[in-house]
Amino acid sequence: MIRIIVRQLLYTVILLFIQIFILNNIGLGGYVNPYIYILAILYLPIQIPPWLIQVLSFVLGFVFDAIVGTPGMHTSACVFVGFIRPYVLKYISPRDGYDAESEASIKDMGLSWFLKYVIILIVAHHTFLFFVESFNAVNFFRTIGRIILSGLFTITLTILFQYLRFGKISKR
Amino acid sequence: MRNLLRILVKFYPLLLFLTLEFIAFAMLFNFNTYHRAAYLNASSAITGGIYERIQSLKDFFVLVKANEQLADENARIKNTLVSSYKSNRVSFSEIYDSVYEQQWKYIDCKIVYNSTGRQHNMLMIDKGSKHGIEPEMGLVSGKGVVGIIRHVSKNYSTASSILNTNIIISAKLKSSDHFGVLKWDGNDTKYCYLSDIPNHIKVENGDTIVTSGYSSIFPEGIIIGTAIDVDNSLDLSFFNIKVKLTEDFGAITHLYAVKNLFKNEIDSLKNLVEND
Repeated sequence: MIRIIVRQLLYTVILLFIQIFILNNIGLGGYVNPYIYILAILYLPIQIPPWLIQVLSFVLGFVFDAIVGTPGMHTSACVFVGFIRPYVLKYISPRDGYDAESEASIKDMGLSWFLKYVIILIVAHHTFLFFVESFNAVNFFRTIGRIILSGLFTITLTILFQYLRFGKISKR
Repeated sequence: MRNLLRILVKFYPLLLFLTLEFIAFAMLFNFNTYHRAAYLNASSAITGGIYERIQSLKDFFVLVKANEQLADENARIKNTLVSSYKSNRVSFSEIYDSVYEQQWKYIDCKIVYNSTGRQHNMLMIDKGSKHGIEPEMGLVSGKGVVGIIRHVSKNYSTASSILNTNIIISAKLKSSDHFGVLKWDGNDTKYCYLSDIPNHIKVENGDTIVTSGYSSIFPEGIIIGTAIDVDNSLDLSFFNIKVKLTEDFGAITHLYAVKNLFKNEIDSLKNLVEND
């Protein structure tokens, strides 16, 4: 238990570090703003209760907002991801359900499950975040473009991190 | 209660989500200038529309009061219009001369009320005691004799026109200076009757009838009318002459009130004679 908490904290700190010091400085025409820190929520254990994941999402978003200086913006998006994550997990669950100790990773759940999981949640997060950020309907298509490009970038990075983390992944 | 708790347990992720989102958006709108402005714009567009409807409804209910206010304001503004004011301007001149001492003073005035359809017709003029009008003054127009002032208030005066069966005017034939009594018979506003002219006088149709100047009300020689029908059948020794009035009583506007500056002197002398 303690091990899991420490591990999650470590993940979160590393992800925030990468996000703040590297990815936040990527502009690419104002269209690509990858937000990799959201993986801290995605990596949480699958069996975690819904209230806890929402509270943790809120805390994560709050901390990130405090660092970036946009109170409420990332918090709302993170809470949204935390809210839908249990439903997404239920939706894409394998036929025989989740193992008690399995993690949300390619290693444990397989590439296709992980891709579905990551794509749904990251697109949801980016959609919510960029619409909250633009907060009007005038820039609708520009916002859609940002969501697609940034989402692609974030998903790619997420997959990349999976391979970095586990090295060569043996299929389960 | 148990059901409520069950519902709360069942939906707690949604409730928690809504609570946390509420906090997040509260922070978003409170601490980000852009989002605050967007939020205020959107909310003011919505609430503004609602307030506008409420206000238009309220406006409808205060229409009565608004009408009263407008009427008050109109009355106040109309009170400042020039047409709301009555002119107190009186133009006359007095000349002091030891050889020709002025006897008659003319005060111009305007008719504010005039009747012709009654037996005792009267008129009202826009000058009163303030402007020097007194009872028993004569009223003449440019075309002839009009009437005699009866009652005087501060700003207005009433007068009996000569179309009044109670009024008798001393008149004379301009050609022969024989005088008689002019009276209206109460029928036709175009004609009066001059009686008491001795029948040895030669009177022809078209002779001019003027005031005699004996009454201390009218100056001598003010035109009254022309004789159109000389009739001596009623009385053996006196004519009864039908006089066509030169004044059109239906269309008088401006008049002069004639003041006899020696009226008191004449009247007191007359009284002395009558008392003898």
